[in-house]
Amino acid sequence: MTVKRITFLQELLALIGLEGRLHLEWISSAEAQKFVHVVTDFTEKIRALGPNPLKENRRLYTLEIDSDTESEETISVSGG
Amino acid sequence: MKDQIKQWLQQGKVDIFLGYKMVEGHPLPHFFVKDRLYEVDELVTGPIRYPLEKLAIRLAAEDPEVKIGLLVRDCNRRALNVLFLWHQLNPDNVMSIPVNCCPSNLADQANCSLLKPEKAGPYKEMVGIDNNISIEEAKGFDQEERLRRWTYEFDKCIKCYGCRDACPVCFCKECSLEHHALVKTGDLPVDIPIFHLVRAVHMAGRCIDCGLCEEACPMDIPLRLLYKMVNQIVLNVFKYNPGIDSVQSPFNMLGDEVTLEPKGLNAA
Repeated sequence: MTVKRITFLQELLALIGLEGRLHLEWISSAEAQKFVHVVTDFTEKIRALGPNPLKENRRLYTLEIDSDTESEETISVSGG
Repeated sequence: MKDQIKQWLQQGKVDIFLGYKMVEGHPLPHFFVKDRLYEVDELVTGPIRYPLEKLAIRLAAEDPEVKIGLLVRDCNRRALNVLFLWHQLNPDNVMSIPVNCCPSNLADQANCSLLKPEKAGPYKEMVGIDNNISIEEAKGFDQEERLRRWTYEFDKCIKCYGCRDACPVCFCKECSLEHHALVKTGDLPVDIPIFHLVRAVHMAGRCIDCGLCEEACPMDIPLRLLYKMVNQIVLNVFKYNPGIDSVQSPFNMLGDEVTLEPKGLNAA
């Protein structure tokens, strides 16, 4: 069931463009090598993806779309 | 139809009949009862839609024995199926009269407010998600564009809770969307993507695709498309089709057997 729930969540995040940031793996306490391998690989993958784009600058689209006209006003009104 | 409703009320087959009546030029939901039988003549049908099942849940919560009759379209029928499955209504206490709904050569006209979707404006088409596009088209944008477009849509939200209030299959006593630990109430801009995705998760395996949420939304957020997409995931992962299948959704607290393998680390 966990794998189904996580699959659901992975696909849900993919719908809005946040794919690849959730990973599920079963690792026994005896599998130290596997743990290191998985954590290292996933850390690298996440680092390559960069910080969560929703954390800051939620108005990314306004900056791009309105960059030519009245950008000052739009940013100051809607920022944050 | 009106004769049948009168008959039901007189014979006590139903205590309350839920239909629509014109009030000040607007068709609004109305409770027809035996004491005011003459009102049944004023019953109207048409493209107007309200979640009558939701009113029925409220009535049944007050008095579980009350017998309710209501007008049903196809979407109401699916909603009733879900509500019966989740024990919100007792099928023995609900009588329904089907009304004209989807287009057919055999019907004089199709009566549904959903049949005339509003066309998206050029700005929305450029930066947002057109409410009328297909699931495939919505998935077709590349990752960055998808995120930007959905963020634009979610960002418009004014947290009016209209989508939840109009939803015929939303029946929880305590709503997660008003739980302080999960979503701050009265706080704008809305918490993206928590607010909409929490609702989307709750709609997964339950949404019967009536489209009332999208009609209720003052900010024109493509909610119907979003819930269609989560239902598609539920169909793929859990093999469940809400409103049609005759068991409760397996996507719930208890869960069911595992048949899937975890995704590889490098899988998309």
